[in-house]
Amino acid sequence: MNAGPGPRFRLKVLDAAIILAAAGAFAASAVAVYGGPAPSRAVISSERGEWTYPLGTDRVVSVDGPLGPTLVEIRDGAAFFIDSPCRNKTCLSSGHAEHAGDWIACLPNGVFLRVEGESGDDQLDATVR
Amino acid sequence: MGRLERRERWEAAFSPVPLALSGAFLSLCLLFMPGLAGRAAFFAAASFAAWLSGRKVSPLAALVVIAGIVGANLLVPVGRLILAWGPLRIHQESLYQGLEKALTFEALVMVSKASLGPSLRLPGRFGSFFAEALRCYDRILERKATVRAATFFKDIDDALVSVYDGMDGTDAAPSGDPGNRGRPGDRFLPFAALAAGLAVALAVIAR
Amino acid sequence: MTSSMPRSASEKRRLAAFLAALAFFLSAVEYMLPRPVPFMRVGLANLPILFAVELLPWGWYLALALVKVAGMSLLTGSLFSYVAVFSLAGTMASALVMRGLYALAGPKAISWVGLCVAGAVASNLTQALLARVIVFGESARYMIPAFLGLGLVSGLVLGVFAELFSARSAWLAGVRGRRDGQA
Repeated sequence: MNAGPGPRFRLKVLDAAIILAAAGAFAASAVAVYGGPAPSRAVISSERGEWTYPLGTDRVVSVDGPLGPTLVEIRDGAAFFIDSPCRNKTCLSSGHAEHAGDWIACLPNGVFLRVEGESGDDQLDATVR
Repeated sequence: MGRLERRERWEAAFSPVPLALSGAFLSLCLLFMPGLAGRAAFFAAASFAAWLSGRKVSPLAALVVIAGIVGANLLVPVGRLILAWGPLRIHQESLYQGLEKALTFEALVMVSKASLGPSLRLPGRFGSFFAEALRCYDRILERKATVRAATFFKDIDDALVSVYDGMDGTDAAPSGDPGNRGRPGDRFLPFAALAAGLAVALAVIAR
Repeated sequence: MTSSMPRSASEKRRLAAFLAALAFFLSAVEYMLPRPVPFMRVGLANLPILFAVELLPWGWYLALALVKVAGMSLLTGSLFSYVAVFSLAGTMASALVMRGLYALAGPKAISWVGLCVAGAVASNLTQALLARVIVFGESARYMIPAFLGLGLVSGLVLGVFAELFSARSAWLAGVRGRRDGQA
């Protein structure tokens, strides 16, 4: 440190390293946060409205349709139906929606679930069961 | 009644230590209060108390903070979509959580403002060290008027030399009343604490 | 390099109390400056702690950091609020990082600028993590680049100011002279 009038101040090696590291961290975080796609989220819609939940937080959600409440579980980054008032309950075996563009639905109860946000380009576009 | 007059009346009505202890207890109650309505009520009551205590309370500053916290929480959409207006989308749970956090944040600030002040004496060696620092702070404040923009560095430095050299071990702890004699408002503090505790308990049970 | 520490216990106490008072004053100045987010500060009040890195032993250094937080929390009436929690976490993170770097590297390898930037970034990152838990939740991630950027800029500005002040200050020279037995 300058201890009084004397030699002009010069940046030292560790100063430069710290400044560069801080600038690098700032740039990297800005790119990661503002440049990347939004985190995945499940968007659930019915005639009663629209609900959005991030896939990163586990929860069970109840969404009302004309026949009654449909239960949707979000667990381990995927969303799937766990109960619905429809007769055949086909929607319960429609699988998990976890990638951007995936969708599942309970047609009798008018509940639709789609995933928005991060998309993996290396993922399959669709699967047929 | 002006702010300074309210401040004098508040300090005359409550002893610093019981008031601070009540504030600490009320802060804890707030943290355990479930639901938005309860926290909003707490915020309203604490804001009124802070205003009554004569501390500087800026409604605009509080609103800006609340808006900032709510706005930040709205960035992550959670729950039912309740308003869509162009790019602005407000989801119910995000709004609720944002309001809850914002009102808690500001209510704690208001409780602190109402229950704390420079007249509070901290105990022990830490307390006497803090008191010495406060006395030195008063002397620095006295010198701040001598600092001018044109000779900023020199004036600051002269002030530092003057205050530091003036400290020379003459800062004995002040004698006399530590300010903990009973004051007329002290007897109401336990009731306020009890009322807050009961409100929290009832709110928790009712949930 | 001569020892940076004052020689007697009463000198250490006097210097620590003075630096604490200076921190209160700078904190009050900073309180009046407009800020976009309530707990993001420029860090003016950390300047006395920065100088204390070379002027005070560890015990008084930590006491100074704690008194700075407690003092300002009492003076502004925010001791029972999250503001005090943010202040404590940020100040302690900054103080420990600056002192640790100084102890490891020494004044020949690092200047006030490097210490200030490291301290400011550590403080802001700690506060960003707390903000994630206390007020912002998941959306805190959007604040992190801003916290890092502000830490870098404020650290640079304060570090340069500290260098300029250190070069000209008769007070600091006097304190260093006293500690070296020249007073």
